[in-house]
Amino acid sequence: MSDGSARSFDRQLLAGLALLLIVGLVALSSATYLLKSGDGLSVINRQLLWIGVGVAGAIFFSLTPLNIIRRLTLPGYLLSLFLLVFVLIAGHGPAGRWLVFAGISFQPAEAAKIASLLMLTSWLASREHRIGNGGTLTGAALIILLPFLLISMQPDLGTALVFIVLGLGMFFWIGVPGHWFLFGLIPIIGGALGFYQVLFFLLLLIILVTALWKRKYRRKLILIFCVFAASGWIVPHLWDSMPQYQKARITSFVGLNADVRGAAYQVIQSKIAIGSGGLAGKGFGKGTQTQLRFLPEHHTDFILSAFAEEFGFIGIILVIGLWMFVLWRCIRQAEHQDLLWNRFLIMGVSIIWGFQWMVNLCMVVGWAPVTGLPMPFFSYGGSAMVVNLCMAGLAVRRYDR
Amino acid sequence: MIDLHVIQAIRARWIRSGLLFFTILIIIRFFYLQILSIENFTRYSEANSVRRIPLTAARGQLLDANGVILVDNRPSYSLFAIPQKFLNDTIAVQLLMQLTGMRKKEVYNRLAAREIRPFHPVRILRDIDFETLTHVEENRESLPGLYVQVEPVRAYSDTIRASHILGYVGEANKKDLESSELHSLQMGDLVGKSGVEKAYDDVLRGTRGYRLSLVDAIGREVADYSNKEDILPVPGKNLQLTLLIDLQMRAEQLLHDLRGSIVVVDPQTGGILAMVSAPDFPLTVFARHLAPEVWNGLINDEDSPLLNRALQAQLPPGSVYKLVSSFAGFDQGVINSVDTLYCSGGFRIGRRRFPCWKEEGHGSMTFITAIAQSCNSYFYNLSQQLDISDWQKWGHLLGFGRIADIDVAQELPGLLPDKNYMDKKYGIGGWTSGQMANLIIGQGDLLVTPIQVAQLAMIIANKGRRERMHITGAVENGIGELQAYQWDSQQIDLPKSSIDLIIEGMKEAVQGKHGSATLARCPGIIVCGKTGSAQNPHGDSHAWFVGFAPMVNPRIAVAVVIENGGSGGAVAAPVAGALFRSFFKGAGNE
Repeated sequence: MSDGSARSFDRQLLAGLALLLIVGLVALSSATYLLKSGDGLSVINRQLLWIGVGVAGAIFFSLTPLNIIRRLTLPGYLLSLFLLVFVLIAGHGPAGRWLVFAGISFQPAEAAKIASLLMLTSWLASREHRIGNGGTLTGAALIILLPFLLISMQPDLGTALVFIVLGLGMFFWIGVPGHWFLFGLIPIIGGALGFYQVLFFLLLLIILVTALWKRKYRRKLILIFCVFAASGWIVPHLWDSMPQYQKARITSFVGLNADVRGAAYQVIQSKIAIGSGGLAGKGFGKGTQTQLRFLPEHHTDFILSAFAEEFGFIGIILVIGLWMFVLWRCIRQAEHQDLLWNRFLIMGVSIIWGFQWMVNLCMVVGWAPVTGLPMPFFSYGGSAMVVNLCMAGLAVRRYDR
Repeated sequence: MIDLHVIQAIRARWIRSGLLFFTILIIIRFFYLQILSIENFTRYSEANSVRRIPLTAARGQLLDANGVILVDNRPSYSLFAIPQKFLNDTIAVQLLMQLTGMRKKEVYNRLAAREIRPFHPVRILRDIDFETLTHVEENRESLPGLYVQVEPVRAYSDTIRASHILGYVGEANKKDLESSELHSLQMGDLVGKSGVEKAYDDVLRGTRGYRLSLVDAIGREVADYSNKEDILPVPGKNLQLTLLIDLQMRAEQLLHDLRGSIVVVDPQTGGILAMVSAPDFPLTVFARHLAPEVWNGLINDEDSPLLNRALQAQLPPGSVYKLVSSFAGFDQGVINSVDTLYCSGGFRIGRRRFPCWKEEGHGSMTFITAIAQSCNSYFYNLSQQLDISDWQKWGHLLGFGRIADIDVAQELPGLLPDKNYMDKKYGIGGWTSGQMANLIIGQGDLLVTPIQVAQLAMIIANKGRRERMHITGAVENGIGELQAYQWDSQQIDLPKSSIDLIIEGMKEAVQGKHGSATLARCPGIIVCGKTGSAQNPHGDSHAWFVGFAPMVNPRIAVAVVIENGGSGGAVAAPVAGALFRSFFKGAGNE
């Protein structure tokens, strides 16, 4: 560990990631079978190009000695924050999320993921003996909140949410007591459930009955009951009293697209694509939903719908299985590494990947609003691919014997 | 850091459990979508991308007796829309209204008609012009679910109109849909609404086909889905009518700007050679999208152009009906060839003097001269010796007071008064022999239709044989052969020798020196005829002519009426003469 170089690499994780990358490429080339791009380069060739860049990045991050990475962490984090500010002023693209540099456009929000992750990891690892104290947690929260706020201002709440989840996940991982989370969740759950009255009252009743029954937790439960009831009552009323334009602002901010009908159409078409795929799918490049463009964003956000249509349930099981393996392996490494920095980093990578994976899956099957979170290694997109490969480079590093 | 490792071991277990839980849930979800609901989603997917495009069958052609095409089909462009894709898109609807000039209500009415089957294409507009077509194609991207299809529509001859016989087609209404066989008709299909088009709709319509086509998200056709599953439309069968296009054209010319009817029949077959009801209307207005103003104009026209006067005008026949009365007279033995009556310009019945049309009187009249010169006095005399029921019986036998049951359109029966009718209307004993005198010369309550008069001409020409009158001669079977329709015929027992005397009288009317119908003559042909000038409360007399030619082996029987036209001899007879000349010039050498 003296020079900070990795002793070995996790071959199994490497294999899993490589397979995921290959299946992702198959999915993309199948989904874009009939897609013609404007400037000659097909979608798949562009993606291959980005993978090339990403693999170079991965090699850099897997071989660079740890002390160099640590030295680069703070400048990298500050640079990413600067870029996030810059993109707010001079952003390109549909929602101003892109920066064009030397003819290449990229999304600073993606770069901010890896920069913030490294910053958070270094910060927590450096506070090894004061890991649970308020200063450590406040610092960690600041590291996360800065990029979160800047990205929300773009606005891109879907991506911004990744940072919140990364922060919360890391808190959980460093041992912040469970009931802190639960208690933090109560007003959120209450506020959300306030819109579904039956569920809301049912849950209130359950809490009340438990409180009466379990004498030991009565005080806590009554507190929970009050917070829950208050939030469940206030939020919907607040919402109702809001003028229409404010509601529209909030829904568009939360990522429930302003064009609700458009979003609903996407989800319907996505479910039709998945459902009509059946067990074995319609075959490579033969999905009518995908190829005839009924499925929107079939090579980016909804690539899994396209994949499900063309490769069926079997294909989806394969993808979910591969992902499970990769995430499982990451968690295992995070648990068993000696180096604290590595434990934190791998868990951070798992959280970022796992969250995006879950949200994207929920979105394509109609369980989550269309937030625009892409599927790592599958969705077409240069910045995300490069960043994900760089994170993969970090995740395969091993220091123990 | 043992402490942290212990905590993290527990936390890792939590994380793994959460991951496992989520994975199981999401796999169940995919299982539900892809395995359990596959049929549903496959259907949706196909409804999305496979469009079942109905192919309209071309209606059968209508041909004249010599095979000249009277009604044909031409290709046209129709606009179709998938309601599901279109209905909620207000911008697209707005654009469509702009491009086509349709009203909002029209568009929505069309789309809403298919609410139950949201993916089934609906015809928005039929037979759009080229300019509209270009506009629509240019704006294709903004009109999702809209497509253009070539469909056959009716194309009409420009030499003849024959609007009432041929009839027009229109979109099936609720009543049509209910009365049609299961699924044979759909909303928006064209069906015959009048004339031959209506009467023979099931023969002419053909069977709709389908084409399966693969379309993309904005409704562009990408490829054929599978040619094997396509069902080609079966065109309707062609009908050969008994009409002669030249004669029909001449008849239409003759009634130009007049109000009246012409019916020309082939007495040998009962086939209608020409039939005109004037005024008429151009069928082409019904071929396109019919504007409400045009329709209202037709309905509210004082001269009712939509009315088929040949079948539905119920008019007093005037002296034409003396022919019918004569049969009754012969049957009862009241008149014969030799007895004469002296016409002094009128006839006294009771205390009232009934005038003959010729004030100075016809002098001594035999039956033949009485018919030829249309002497009223002769028939007034007959009326006093004839019972109304005998008179009514012969009217009925010869087809009056009932429909001729021609194969198209709704006829009206006219009015043939019998004793009951008279008793009911005027009270028993409330009507006098004076009313009988009026009936005998075709006045009074008696009403006939032009088709009935033409039928009378045919029966006389055939010496009693009544052929069922018809317009449709043959239908083309599947392999292009014509199969003739069989129409019934019936022999009426006419009183002995009466028929020859009546025909002789009719010949004298046209060919004789003093005849009333000399203007109906045709060079080289012996024409038989009878005129009538029927008084009526609406103005000038209705000018009638009934007749046939030639006298031996008649080939054409004619009824002409010009409503409020004046004297039959001066107004109707020349029209008939022109028809005879046209017919025998064109067909005389056959």
